[in-house]
Amino acid sequence: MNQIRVLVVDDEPDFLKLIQRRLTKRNVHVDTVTNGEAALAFLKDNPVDVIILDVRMPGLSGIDTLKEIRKRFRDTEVIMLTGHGSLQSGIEGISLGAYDYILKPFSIDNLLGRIRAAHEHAKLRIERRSNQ
Amino acid sequence: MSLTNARKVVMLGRFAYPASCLAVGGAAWFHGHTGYTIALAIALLITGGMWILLWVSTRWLNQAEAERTEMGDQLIQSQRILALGELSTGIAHEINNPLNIILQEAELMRYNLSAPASREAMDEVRTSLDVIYAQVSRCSDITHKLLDLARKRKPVSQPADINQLVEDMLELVERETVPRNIEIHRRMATTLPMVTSDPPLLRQVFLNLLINAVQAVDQDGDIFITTYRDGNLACSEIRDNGPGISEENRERIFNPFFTTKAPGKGTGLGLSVSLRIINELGGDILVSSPPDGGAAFTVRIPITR
Repeated sequence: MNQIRVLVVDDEPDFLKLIQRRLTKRNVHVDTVTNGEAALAFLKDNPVDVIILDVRMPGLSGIDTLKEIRKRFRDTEVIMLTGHGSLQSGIEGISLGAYDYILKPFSIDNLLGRIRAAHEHAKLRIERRSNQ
Repeated sequence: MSLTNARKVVMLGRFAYPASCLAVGGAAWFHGHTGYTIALAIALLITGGMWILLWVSTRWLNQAEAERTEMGDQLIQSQRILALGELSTGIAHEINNPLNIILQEAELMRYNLSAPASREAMDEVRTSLDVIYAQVSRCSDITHKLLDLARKRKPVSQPADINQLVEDMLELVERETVPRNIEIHRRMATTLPMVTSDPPLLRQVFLNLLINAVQAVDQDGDIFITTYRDGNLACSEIRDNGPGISEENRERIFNPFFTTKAPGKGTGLGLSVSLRIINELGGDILVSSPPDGGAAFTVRIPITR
């Protein structure tokens, strides 16, 4: 099976390092960027399957980043990463077409399950389009 | 019109049929007096008459059916025009409010700029510009939501656990309900099978319905979430004990821009988007609101498609 390609967008370098290490061990290809603008620039050249997007970031907010991603990179699924203080953004994210959301703190298995489901969803959509 | 004619012909047939049987019988009985040829002729005549009668009634019935179909189409058309009216006034209302604010701010800016520049006036102009920015983005939000409504979503089917989806959305909503003293009662079916459906779209629908329920209850109340299986349908009922939905509103709640919420609290698109999503997933949403208050929305989606 091909590795799932994931891009994690969060402004905390420590968190990025940790999650990259943990997901790589589970056979997921992980890239990381620290803000929304960088994520959009990265996606232009490197297609990924799933994006883990923190809603609270300096610069372009998670919600605005999501809107742009949904507009420009329709084949990529987005999982919103929300803290307890930012549930409104979770709600907004789901309404704007995010695949799922996950609440910090989370277990790696929980995240992995959601990444796999999102990846499958993206794959099915691409497959269906090529069948048409 | 044709239906009335057809009914008349059929009524006639009701008497004509036994009469013709009797007549044929009579002709056969009396054939000794009249001769075979005449008896046969009478029988043939009666048969022919009956055939014509039946043929006419079939024709009238066909015409009646065509008329009925046409009337059904007209009815759907007029309902569409009604919904369109609601939509137009909705858009006009949603766009006119920010437009009005923009206009007021623009006038204020012109007034502030007409006098020699003072520091105070400049500050006010800056505030006005901020307000205009905010209102323009509000307008573009509305148009985006409208486009979203018109967009045909192409659902992607994958296995989904309804209970899990509902639970995930409850987690989001519970942050709102706990401080407002709204209690959420879960009655999830433990035997509900996985459905083949589109999880992100379902999440949107559940979230919309849950937010509506929370807003309906507002303070100190209960929300009941029940999931169950009904044949090939996976059902999830979201019931609140808020004020309920009045009889005249019940037919309109799924119309785009129809809302009973205070301005700015909701655009009136949540339910119409939800219904569209569920329809595209091959399901439906049932609404019930007993006279003594409360409202229940039941999302029914096929377990296998």
